[in-house]
Amino acid sequence: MDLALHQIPQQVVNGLVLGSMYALIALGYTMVYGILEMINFAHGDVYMAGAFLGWGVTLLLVRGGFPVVAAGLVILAMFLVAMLGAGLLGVTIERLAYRPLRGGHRLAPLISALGVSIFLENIVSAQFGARAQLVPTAHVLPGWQVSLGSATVSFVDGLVVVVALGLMVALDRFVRRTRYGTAMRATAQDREAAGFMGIRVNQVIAVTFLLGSALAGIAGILAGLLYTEVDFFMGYLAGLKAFTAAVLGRIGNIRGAVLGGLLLGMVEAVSTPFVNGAYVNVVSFLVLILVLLIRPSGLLGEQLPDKV
Amino acid sequence: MRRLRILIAAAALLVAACGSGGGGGGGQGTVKAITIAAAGPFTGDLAPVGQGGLHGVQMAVDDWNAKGGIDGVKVQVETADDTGKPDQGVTLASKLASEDAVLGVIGPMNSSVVLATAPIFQRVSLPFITESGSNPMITESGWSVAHRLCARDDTQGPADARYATSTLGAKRIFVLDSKTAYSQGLADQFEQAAKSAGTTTQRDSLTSGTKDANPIATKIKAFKPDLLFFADEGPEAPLVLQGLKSQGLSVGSGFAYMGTDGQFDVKQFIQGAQGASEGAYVSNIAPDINSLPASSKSFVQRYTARYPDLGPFDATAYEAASVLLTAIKDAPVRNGKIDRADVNRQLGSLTYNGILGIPVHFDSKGDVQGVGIFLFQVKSGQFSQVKAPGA
Repeated sequence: MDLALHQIPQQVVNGLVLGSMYALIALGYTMVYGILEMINFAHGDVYMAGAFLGWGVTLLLVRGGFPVVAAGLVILAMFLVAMLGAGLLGVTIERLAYRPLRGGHRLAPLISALGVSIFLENIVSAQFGARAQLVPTAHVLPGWQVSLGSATVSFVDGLVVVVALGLMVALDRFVRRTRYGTAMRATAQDREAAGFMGIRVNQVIAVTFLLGSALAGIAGILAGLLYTEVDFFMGYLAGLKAFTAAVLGRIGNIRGAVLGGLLLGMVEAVSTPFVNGAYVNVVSFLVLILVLLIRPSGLLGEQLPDKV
Repeated sequence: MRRLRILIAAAALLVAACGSGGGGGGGQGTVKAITIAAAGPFTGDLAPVGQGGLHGVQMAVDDWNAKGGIDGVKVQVETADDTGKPDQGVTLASKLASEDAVLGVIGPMNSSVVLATAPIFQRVSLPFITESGSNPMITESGWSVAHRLCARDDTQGPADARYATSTLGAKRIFVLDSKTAYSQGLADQFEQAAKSAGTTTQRDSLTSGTKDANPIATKIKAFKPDLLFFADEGPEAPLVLQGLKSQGLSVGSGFAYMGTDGQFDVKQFIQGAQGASEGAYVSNIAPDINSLPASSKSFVQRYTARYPDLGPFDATAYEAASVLLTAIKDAPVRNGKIDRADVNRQLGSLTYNGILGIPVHFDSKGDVQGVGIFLFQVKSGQFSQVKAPGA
């Protein structure tokens, strides 16, 4: 037991990093669900695409493990390319695969999303091969670490948490404080009425996909830097966990997604010393079931009449 | 009415049989089509390993076809992508079984898939050679069509444990698996042998496909092991090593790492770990291909010119396909047909000298003879062979 307790500080750090990743991806699920009541199963693959875009930047700017320009510039370029690329990918997916089906059967966009997911995975696998591609971080990221008691925090750990939390706060402000955010919330509440009030609903939905997908792209970059490899299948498990996090918090609610993501990551890491690794997922899904039994609409759920 | 149809069908068959027999010119005849199948996880999360196997088979067949094929017939490759799942494997095995042109199978690659499909292959006498299925039951179940071109778990696990305890002197061993049939079976064999050698072990799992290895790294570090044994197909191992290193437990003084055959992969295990695997041991079921005869070296050169990198089972798959094609070539042609049972008989008796550095010969169970366990250590970013503890 002492052996287990001794690990807790480090596991809290691990959980915070992992939870930040989940939360960042969960935001995209929750934004799309909030506005369209649709689960965008291709979201995990947009995250994967963002990770590959970042890897592509390192192919150009890192030679033999060493960056050809300033290391900070490499990271900045990775973020910009992945944000823009993933954001545009999200908008394109919405325009081509979801919008034509809007107003049809409720299941149609869901099936379409699964199709997009399979399409993206296979096109990346066919283009770049099924093996993991390496992201050379050794000479791009600073090697220093900070010791907090018995826990060590590496630069990339800190980067993940700071970037993720910063973006989450910014998104929350955007949605709650700006005119555009008000339009988004109005569209989420009642798409038809929002349209009558002069809100350009299609544009609002496109912007929602742009933002959610850009966040997934950033999560992809962070994953590449953190795990130093990217592969075509990485979006599957990450997407599943992030979706769980969104439901845990309350799907459709931005703060709920953040809370759900952090909680899920923390449960996974902190339970590791106490159970066999094979049971980590059992524990985290047990938490999900318990939360949903006690609060059926998630941690931050309000008691609302069902919308459908 | 029904009887009439049967009569007509029988007559048609007779005519067809005479036709093909006549074309061959008396008894022997010429074979129209020869197909070998490659079965394995060519898509999905195990695709990195599976595609290497497929490439190995494809290259062997291309080599044969470049030399004129078998009796002038170009050999075809049929792919059976089981994605590493037994149910998928069973469907595909039934399909292969029903196609007369298919004379042999390379794969399936995952032990669990082999165990599920072998009864189907046995029913139609379709021989198969698995290049990576290491579960002992594959050749202990009485299937005459089963052949294996790699070492078994009950050879590899104990051999690794012997080296870890006797040569490296490990006392506290953390045993990690990745929750697959291959990984758990091998880790069980290792743990059992290590325990009976008197070491303290702790056993844990890291689910295959996990990217975040930091929580398990923290747990491993807390156990204060002098050796970590990780039976893993490959993708997770560099992540665990990097996680350990960033938390202050590096391979080297007082801490050793031993991985298994899936990790014998320069790109993934050495480059992928960015220095964290320096000094680590990896046991493999094939010797160092670069230290072998010239034929192996030229294989590596030709292979890496055509495909991006050499995976753990690519050379074995190439060898397995060459062995199968040799057996097909040596099988007698009867009435324009090569019989699967004849191919299987040839497999049982042949001895083939190829690129693996050992003469390939299967025993009565189907296990290859003389394949040992080879141990490598990462030195200056290269695998260098240290000793063959099980050979």
